[in-house]
Amino acid sequence: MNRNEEYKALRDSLVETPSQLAYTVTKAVKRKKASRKRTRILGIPAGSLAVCFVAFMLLVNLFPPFARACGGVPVLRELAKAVTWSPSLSAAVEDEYVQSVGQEQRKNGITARVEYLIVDQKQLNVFYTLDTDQYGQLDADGAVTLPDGGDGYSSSSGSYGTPNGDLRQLTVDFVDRDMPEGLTLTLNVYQSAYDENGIAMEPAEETMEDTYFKVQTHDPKILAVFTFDLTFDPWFTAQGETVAVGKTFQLDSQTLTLKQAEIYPTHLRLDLGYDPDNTAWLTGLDFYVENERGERFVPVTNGISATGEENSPSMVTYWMDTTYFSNSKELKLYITQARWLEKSREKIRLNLATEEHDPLPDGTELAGILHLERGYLLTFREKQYREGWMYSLWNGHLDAGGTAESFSSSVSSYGYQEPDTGEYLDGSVSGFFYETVPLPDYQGTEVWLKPVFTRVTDFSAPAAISIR
Amino acid sequence: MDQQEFIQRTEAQKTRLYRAAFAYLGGEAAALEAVDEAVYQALRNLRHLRQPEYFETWLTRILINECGRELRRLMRLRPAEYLPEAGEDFNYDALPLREAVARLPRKLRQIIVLRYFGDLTLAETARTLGIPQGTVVTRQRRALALLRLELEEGNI
Repeated sequence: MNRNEEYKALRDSLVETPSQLAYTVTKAVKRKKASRKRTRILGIPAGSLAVCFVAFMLLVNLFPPFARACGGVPVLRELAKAVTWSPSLSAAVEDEYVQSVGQEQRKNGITARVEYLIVDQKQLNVFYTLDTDQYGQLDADGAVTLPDGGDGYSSSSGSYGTPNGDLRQLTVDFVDRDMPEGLTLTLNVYQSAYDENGIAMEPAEETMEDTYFKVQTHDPKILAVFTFDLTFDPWFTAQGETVAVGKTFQLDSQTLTLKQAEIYPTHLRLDLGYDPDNTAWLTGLDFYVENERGERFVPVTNGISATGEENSPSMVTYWMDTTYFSNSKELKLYITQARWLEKSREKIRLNLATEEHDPLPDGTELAGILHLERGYLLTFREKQYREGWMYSLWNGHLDAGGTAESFSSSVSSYGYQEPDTGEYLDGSVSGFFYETVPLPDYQGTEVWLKPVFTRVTDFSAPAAISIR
Repeated sequence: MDQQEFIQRTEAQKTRLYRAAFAYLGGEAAALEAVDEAVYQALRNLRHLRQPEYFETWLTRILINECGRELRRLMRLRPAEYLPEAGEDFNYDALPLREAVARLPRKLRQIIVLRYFGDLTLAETARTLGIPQGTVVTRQRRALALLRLELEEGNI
């Protein structure tokens, strides 16, 4: 067979495609839906909240009827489009709960303009634009400085990759203090590594070991630095109401207390307490709040969804969409799922040589251990507790000397390729996914893993607690 | 472009994408993984697509990026099976076509994959790779010569 005949035979052999190709698009749609739902649990000790940047994906076009309604109000049209991912911020815009700013600066061929603020007692959302006629796609790292130089806040941006000229957003959450009268916003602007379509033209040459073990650096060449002094309307920063509840209840044989609900225009926080004699820490909840008209309010799905405390793995404050604009007279909390870290299973021993281990968290299996030059990769098959939900099961690990380390990165995927046999396993078919965590430069043969939870309980009849 | 249009246009492209990925990676499982990931990445970044008329080349570029990433991963995982690219003085004649394509230098392999397995025109290949058409022609000529393939437009 000459080369041309060989080419023809190869082409002919590709006329028949594997049956799995039929599900490619459906799987992508499911996966995108899942990433929207994926909750990011951030355990932030209330007393020592440091500034941190959390990049999260914006949810767009979730509420087209609302976007259309605001479309008739010229000043809010653009802002309405920018906040469609958030029911709370959408309600704020619809209610015209917006402070206009209109501060503009130009440096080195770049124009930065702060357009609007949505601010209350505990959360600030800054909406701004970047534009240029000299550079391509721009990105910015935003930071805030308080008048007293203090901390106690967390800032996050979900606007990386926003086209030039469109509204970008920076969110600042205050946990252990209230919103100041004003603050300084700094924007460090640089050219994006991605083109106008959001795709890297030349992807970085990266090995698998780089993916898991390389310390990620972010040191872009700054094209311009903008500083804006923002002063808040005191009426906005006074907004927020605390409803004392103080109800103790039993959940899955553990004793919890719903202490209070903090209702702000931008979000709602439920503060829980627990009995120190409980046999498990509460580390996650699925729930909703319903008012007297049957309207439901659900947990935050992007950004901070829960915060913890300094001296335990418990998550004690749960963040959700606000009821502030709903004029609700009655509110009731319904808990549909609880995720527990049993006190007897806070550390799970794993032998890296023999793959023997203590019982893993319920619904979890060890898929494989890969020993590479720069460390170990541990892959676990984990259960999707609701359709499309992938989560990070592991908080970190202890080495043989008992020193605690966080995992530097983890990667979750529906598929897993068995390193020895090359067999491709698709977990999504049976309601599972795979999570890989790295152990860089690990010397010991045993490791103690720290799971986020070990047991999950679904309540077919939701536990109901009246808030007011 | 909305999600419905994305689904329709991607469904129409996926066989072509799979063929290109298979030629790039040389195996079914790896090709499926690359196509799955490319389609997901495209859907995730759909809001960044500024010129819907070039959706097909945009999607193909994402696939080529994913194939490159997948190949590097496989070379690390299974070094005996996935060998590094060979130079232009390598004797490609000794290998079956499928393996010979996989050993071509990356820039030449991309052209063969897109033109003869992805069924892109010269202009579409140039747009996908972000290079001038003249460069595509030059690389195509070199790649075909190395593979000892004599293909005309009508063969594609």
